[in-house]
Amino acid sequence: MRRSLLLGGLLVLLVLVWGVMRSQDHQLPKWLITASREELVQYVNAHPEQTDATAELAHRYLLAGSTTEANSLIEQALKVSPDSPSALRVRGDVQFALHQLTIAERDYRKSLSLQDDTRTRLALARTLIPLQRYAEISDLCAPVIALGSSSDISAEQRAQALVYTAGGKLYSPLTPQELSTLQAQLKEADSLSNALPREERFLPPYFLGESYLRLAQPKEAIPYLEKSTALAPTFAGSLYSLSRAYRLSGDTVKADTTSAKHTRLSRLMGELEAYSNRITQNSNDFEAMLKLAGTFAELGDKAQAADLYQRLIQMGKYVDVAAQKRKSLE
Amino acid sequence: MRRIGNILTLLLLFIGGGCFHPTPSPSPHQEAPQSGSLRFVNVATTAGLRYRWETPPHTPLTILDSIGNGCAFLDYNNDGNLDILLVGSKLALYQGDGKGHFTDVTASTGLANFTGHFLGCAIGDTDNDGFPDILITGYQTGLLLHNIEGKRFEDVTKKAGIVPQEWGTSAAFADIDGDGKLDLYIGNYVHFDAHSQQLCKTNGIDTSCPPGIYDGVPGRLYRNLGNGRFADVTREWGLHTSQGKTLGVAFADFDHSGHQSLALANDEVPGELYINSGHGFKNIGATSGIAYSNVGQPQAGMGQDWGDYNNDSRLDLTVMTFTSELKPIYRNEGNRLFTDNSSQLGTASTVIPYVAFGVKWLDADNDGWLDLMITNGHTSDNIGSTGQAYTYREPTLLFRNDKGTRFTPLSLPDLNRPIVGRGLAIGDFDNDGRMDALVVDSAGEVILLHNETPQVGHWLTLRLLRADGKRDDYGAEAILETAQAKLLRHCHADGSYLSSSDPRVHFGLGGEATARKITIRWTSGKTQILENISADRIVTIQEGQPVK
Repeated sequence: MRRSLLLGGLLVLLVLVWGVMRSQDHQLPKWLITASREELVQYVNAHPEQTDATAELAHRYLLAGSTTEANSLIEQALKVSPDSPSALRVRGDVQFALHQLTIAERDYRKSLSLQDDTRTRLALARTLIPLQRYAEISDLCAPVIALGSSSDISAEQRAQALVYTAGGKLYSPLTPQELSTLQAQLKEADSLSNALPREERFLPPYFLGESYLRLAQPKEAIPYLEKSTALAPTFAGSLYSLSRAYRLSGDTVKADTTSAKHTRLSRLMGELEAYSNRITQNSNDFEAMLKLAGTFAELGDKAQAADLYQRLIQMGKYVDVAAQKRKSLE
Repeated sequence: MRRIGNILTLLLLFIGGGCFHPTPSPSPHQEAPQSGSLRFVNVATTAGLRYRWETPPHTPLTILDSIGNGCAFLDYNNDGNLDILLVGSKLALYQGDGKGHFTDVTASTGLANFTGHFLGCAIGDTDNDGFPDILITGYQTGLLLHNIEGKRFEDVTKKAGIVPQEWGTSAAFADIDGDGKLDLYIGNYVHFDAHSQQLCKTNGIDTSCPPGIYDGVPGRLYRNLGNGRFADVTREWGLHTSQGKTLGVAFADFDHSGHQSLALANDEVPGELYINSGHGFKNIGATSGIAYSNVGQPQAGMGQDWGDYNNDSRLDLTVMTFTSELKPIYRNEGNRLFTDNSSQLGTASTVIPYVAFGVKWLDADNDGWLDLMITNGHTSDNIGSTGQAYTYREPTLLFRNDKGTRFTPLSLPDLNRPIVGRGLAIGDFDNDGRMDALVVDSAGEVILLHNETPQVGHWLTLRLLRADGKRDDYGAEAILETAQAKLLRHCHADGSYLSSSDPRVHFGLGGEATARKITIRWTSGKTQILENISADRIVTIQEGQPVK
């Protein structure tokens, strides 16, 4: 009897300790999730040892596009708790945003080695997509997909796991049967696409369109590619595939129109990259800054264009041209 | 600048976006390659080749330092045995005996007299005298070397009216107007000089810059006027619209129009496909499907080659690209449309991590299906110190073609050795019916890969000569039919990267010992049919004449 009580007490103690660890490490108190950023800032200032809260605040900054602040906070959190899975995951997110994919991968993997977590799995899978490591993506997403539509994962997470896996498989040889399975997954992801982050909603229809092109069924591809083009108008891949689908199905008029749109978009995106690269390499490349502003204006992003023109004027470079072009934006 | 970040993050999600050259590493899940029965052995030293390319002593290298060099298989003395030309700051010419041995004839042929910032070459008989001439490309230079009866070479550049190019890269000869004389296209890269930005930061480390920060320079088209004269007809023929940044140049009559069209592989700007009307060129790159990557973005086009990989009697096009990009295999769908089929063919996962330059289709095992060889090597000599999971030296790749539906990477010791791979040429230097390869290691010695595959199929090699019996009919097509197969191959020396290959048309016949029918479409427009040609030999066919 005494022995049973002792074992029972130990069990309770273990559960309690485990519960505390969970709440400290990856199960954020609800109020932290719902707290405003200002409340979080106050809490983190008062409790710098609370790694989860710091990581959550860093995550908020990241979502707001303040990568520098997020980076600073997460490094602070990891100084306090170098093995915090949630902090490691958020640092992976920061590094992903900074396009430091190898470092992001390292952080996600370390986080996963400490604690399996669906968010971290999907974040790592997302990181591996531009690295074209599709077999690993499939391995990472498989347990998430296997959970089905259970309450353990959100609709967003299921849709991401489905679309990351299916999209990756499109770049390997597939039998017609495998393509059919893949299309079923993508259609489910498409049905859940409202749950996806806004910038990822075009992925299911895009990959579905690609899958029909792979099957030499361009007419079937068209509605999906039209949808993905509408959802992500600045993604050149959708317009490109759509123009090919029109052409392959014999609609040369629409093909030519779409091809012209694609060529323009591709040129603008190329300019965006080229001028950004030049400025990255040489912050005094004012000519690149002027051209970048012009590209933003052509893309319809007047705010970015105006901001760049204003900076040129303030720096005393290309003042007349910048002023004239800024005025023409109004 | 957050908007840029968002757009780029979106693009980074996709394969081949290639925007910021992200940092992939070779997948540990790649299919384990098998050697099969294919065997290539580097015999450069025993064959008598002594040549080493040296990179400048400083590091990091600039974009100019890392561009690399080319090479050629040619038969300069018209004795039926392939010779070897190596291009660097000094030229080297080796005469082959057809048995696998080469003798240095650089001095005796006069090539030792030439030094310069030479990069690549094109081979073609510009005066139809039966002896192929040499075009050397280079940075702010260029030479047209007239072959005097297979004995020596004379610099006729100025006399011919060819000017030094700003940055000449790959070049190719073709008869664009059907007048029986070989015309010339010289690709140009970017505007780069001492005043240009020399280095760029990658993860805070100085490395060579991407071509995107330099202005492109369009190539030049020279029409052969005869009497040793060429005229620059770039504008007249509509090629002045090219954006430049060209690294790969390859002519072919891909649409059976009877005219030689021109594919240009361009670095980080859209690829171009110029269809030839017989009196001008028009770019259909964007509508044809070869201008962009699979995600609709310009890709870093390097070397390229035409070949019918799926034996549907249409020439397909493969284009090499930078790391993190697909190396597309554009299947010719007819109606001037192409579809990148590299994912379905299984090459994507193997080639993506590499910076691929040289490429050639070749039937390495004579089974009737064109295999694929690719030379690789990064452009940044210090890439290893930038925190990226890449190396400067990379292996050469060989893929076996499984009946046009899959390509399997093979593991061969003398190809696996990492090199700074650039130029690649193919040819049968010992006339044994097995295609060999010549590879440039830009930071090492020349590599001569002897095909020693023990079990190969039957074969037939055709030398296609024009009606005058003098010159190889570049652009002519031969369709060979056996009981089992119908194969289209074309006579060409161009393609790959800065290099020129054996123009003889090689067929692997598998188990078939006889070609039941060969249909030759000469560039003159005439068609010739040959029947019951026995295999395992080299046959010279002169237009309009019976087989000797």
